Amino acid sequence: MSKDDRYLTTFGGLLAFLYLAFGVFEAIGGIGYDGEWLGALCVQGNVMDAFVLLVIGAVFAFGLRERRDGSAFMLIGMALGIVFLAIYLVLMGANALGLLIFGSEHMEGWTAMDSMRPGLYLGILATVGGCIWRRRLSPSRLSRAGA
Amino acid sequence: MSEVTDEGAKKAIRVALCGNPNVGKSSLFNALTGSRQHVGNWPGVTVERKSGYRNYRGHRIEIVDLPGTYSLIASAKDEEVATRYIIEEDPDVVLQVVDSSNLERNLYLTMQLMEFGKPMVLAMNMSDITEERGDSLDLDALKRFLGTPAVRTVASQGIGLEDLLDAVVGAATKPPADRRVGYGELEATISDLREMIDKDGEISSRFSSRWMATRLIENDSYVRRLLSDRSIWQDIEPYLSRMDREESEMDLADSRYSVIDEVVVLSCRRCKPKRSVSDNMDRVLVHKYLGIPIFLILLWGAFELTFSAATPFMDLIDSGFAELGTWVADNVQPDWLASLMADGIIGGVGSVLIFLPNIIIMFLILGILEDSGYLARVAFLMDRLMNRIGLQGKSAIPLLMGFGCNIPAIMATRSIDDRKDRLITIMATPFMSCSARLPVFILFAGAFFSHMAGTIIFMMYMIGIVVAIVTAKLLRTFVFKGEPSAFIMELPPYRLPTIRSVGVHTWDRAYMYVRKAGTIILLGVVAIWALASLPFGVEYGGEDSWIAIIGKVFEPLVEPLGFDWRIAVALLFGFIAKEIVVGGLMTLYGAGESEDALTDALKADGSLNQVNAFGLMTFSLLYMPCVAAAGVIWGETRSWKWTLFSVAYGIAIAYVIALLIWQIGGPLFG
Amino acid sequence: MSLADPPVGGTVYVTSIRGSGSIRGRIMAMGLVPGTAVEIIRRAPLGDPLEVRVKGYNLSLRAQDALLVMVSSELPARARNDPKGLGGV
Repeated sequence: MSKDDRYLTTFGGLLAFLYLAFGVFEAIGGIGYDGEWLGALCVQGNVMDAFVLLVIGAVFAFGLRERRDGSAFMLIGMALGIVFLAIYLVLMGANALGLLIFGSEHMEGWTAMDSMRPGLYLGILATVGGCIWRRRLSPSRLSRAGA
Repeated sequence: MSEVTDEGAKKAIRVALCGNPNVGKSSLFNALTGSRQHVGNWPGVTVERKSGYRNYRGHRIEIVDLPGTYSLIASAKDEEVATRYIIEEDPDVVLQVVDSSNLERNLYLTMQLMEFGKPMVLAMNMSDITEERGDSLDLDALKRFLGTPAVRTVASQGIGLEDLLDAVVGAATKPPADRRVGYGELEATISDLREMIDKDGEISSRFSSRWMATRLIENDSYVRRLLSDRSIWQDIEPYLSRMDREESEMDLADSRYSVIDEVVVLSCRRCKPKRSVSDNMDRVLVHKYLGIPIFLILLWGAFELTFSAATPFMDLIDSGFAELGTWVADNVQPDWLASLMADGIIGGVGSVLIFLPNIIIMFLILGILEDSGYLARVAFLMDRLMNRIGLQGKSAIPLLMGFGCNIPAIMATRSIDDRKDRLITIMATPFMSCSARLPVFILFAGAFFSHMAGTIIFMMYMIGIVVAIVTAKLLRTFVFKGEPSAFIMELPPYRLPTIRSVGVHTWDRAYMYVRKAGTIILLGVVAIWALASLPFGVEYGGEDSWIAIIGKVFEPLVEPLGFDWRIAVALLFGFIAKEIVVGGLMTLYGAGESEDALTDALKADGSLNQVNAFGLMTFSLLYMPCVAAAGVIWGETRSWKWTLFSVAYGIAIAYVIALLIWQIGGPLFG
Repeated sequence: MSLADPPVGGTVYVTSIRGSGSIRGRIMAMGLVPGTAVEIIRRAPLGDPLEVRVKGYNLSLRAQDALLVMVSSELPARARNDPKGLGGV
């Protein structure tokens, strides 16, 4: 295994751990457990968010288990992380837009931080990883659609 | 044949565009014809006919886009379209779009097309993929062997189009190369059949007897029909039944592939199939444990985007139209005109446009998933489940889309090639609760179930799904019994969708939605406005208006369901479009200022309680989604029988279930 | 044996196609003809359908349809002797 791959694998392990951990946090938040530290981490307690985080974490985790070549798992894992980062950003933006257009009576005291969630900042981490290992994960070998 | 007269005046060149599915045929068609397209229907079948034209170097080139197919052998009318066009309308050139990265299978169709004896041109599409893989095609060798010019194209980037058009023009003016596959041992059988066919002078002068002979061996429905009431059929039929058809069919296929093997060897340098990135990605996306969860989160993400991201735009449009309505009410005289414009037209247009952000985002996401190739994986993952309920993998997508809006969902059933599967899916989709039904749920669940509202709404979705599944199962078991379908689907390599193709698709579909849904809803809203405002001077939607009278006429019908005339009227509104039910109720209860006022008015109405509210929600969930949807059902099935069945069935199911709810639930809970 | 039998990862060769009607024609048009190599890539997570590789591309089909495709692990001898190839008629 090349030195480069070792970094990638470690990073994958880190992301696996983080996504799975926060997935669990969101899950217990969803069940009703109320802890100060959950709020500090911007955990929303949303069951679907928990599922998303757990699945992405699982993708990275399975990738670590692959003996042959786990790079596809890294690629997909990061892609999913980025996709959901985008989705959560759009949601945040939609809320902000709503605030902008209708003024603050429509949504009392909303700030951008209200829409922050682990999927968002972990997604940023995934994006960074995607940039660093851009070439290793070879998205350039995907072809252009013609259908 | 296109002729060039002495004066140089040129007639139109008619081109039949064919090819396998997934080869970029639509991209090429769009690239060649641009906006000069016309969409219609092939008579007698449910297949869409696209035609367009392009002016090139003084020629007018008319292109008809034939349905994508792997083989021309037909067993049903839908599959005969390509053959019939080529035989009956006699185009000048047959242009086949070939996926150069998938040469072997694509050439199967080429072998069949060559048997028509018409001038042919091959568009070797997706050359970018081939080149990236390091393969290279010797197009001259291809041309020498097959006798047809092969032009390198990349339709999605507009590469090679001029060369292609040159080849088409050239082919139209030269006699065809007329090469056919030699069928070895079968040639004797083919001669026998030809002898018999040639006895019918009329048939053999119009059609090639060799072509008909081979088709007969393969049991093609079109040729059978052509010959079965001729006198020669007396001799042909017994001959065919004595043959070992199965063995002969395999021989035919085998011969074609033998030729293809030779072609590939001669023309493809360095064509080694490599394990591509696609297969690698499939290890994750179709993973035994990860595959379905990944699909689920992507599905959820898609819905989140469609609903939540669209909300500010929807609110914007909503308030914009409200402002417009108020302005009109204040500034336009006479009153009836103001009312027509504000309540009728603006309200109507508004109720269509308000869903536009929703629809556009949904089409965008669908386009990306489709072009990337992921949707085929979804069908692959879901097929087992779908099979259990009588459908197939490709039905999963329309059903899921139905949660957003039934209209594009029903339109999406086009991707299902099996006619029975497609029909059953179309019948089941309307029960998937679309976003237009939500306002009614929210209103009534909120008014009558307060803290349980969320659960109740969830139950509505579940009821819809259950009815859809039962419908599919029933249709498969009783109407289509004994007709198995096969699920044989290509899993194309993953591709990066181009902004261009996704954009074009999205625009096309959104435009169709606005046109189809828009026109009907607008007309409907104006009609309702008229009924609610007449006779002159009556209170809009009040007890003396015509629409109330109609409602009262229906009242006895809906009494067993626990509804009164106002609900009947609201349901009539909902017939036109679910979006206007809430607005209609506001009018009827005189609570037009806000939804809260309506909620209060509803609660205050002594005739409404939890039971019939539940019944009402169920009824509005299940009865025909909206006229626009019925219109789309007709568009996709081309059959009044099925369209009316869908409508009647929906109403019947809705009625029966609401009846049960009121008759049983009333005494129990009322 | 039929195409539904071999394990994932194996490569087999088509010997014949059973059944009749349009399904058979479709199967053959997709490239599953006698003599062709077929590699079994995977089964779907729920057990069905099957994904195979044939003639350079990936095809999915249900086990019940795969039962119609008879295969063997040995390359069948080319039984057809008459010269084929392209000719004008």
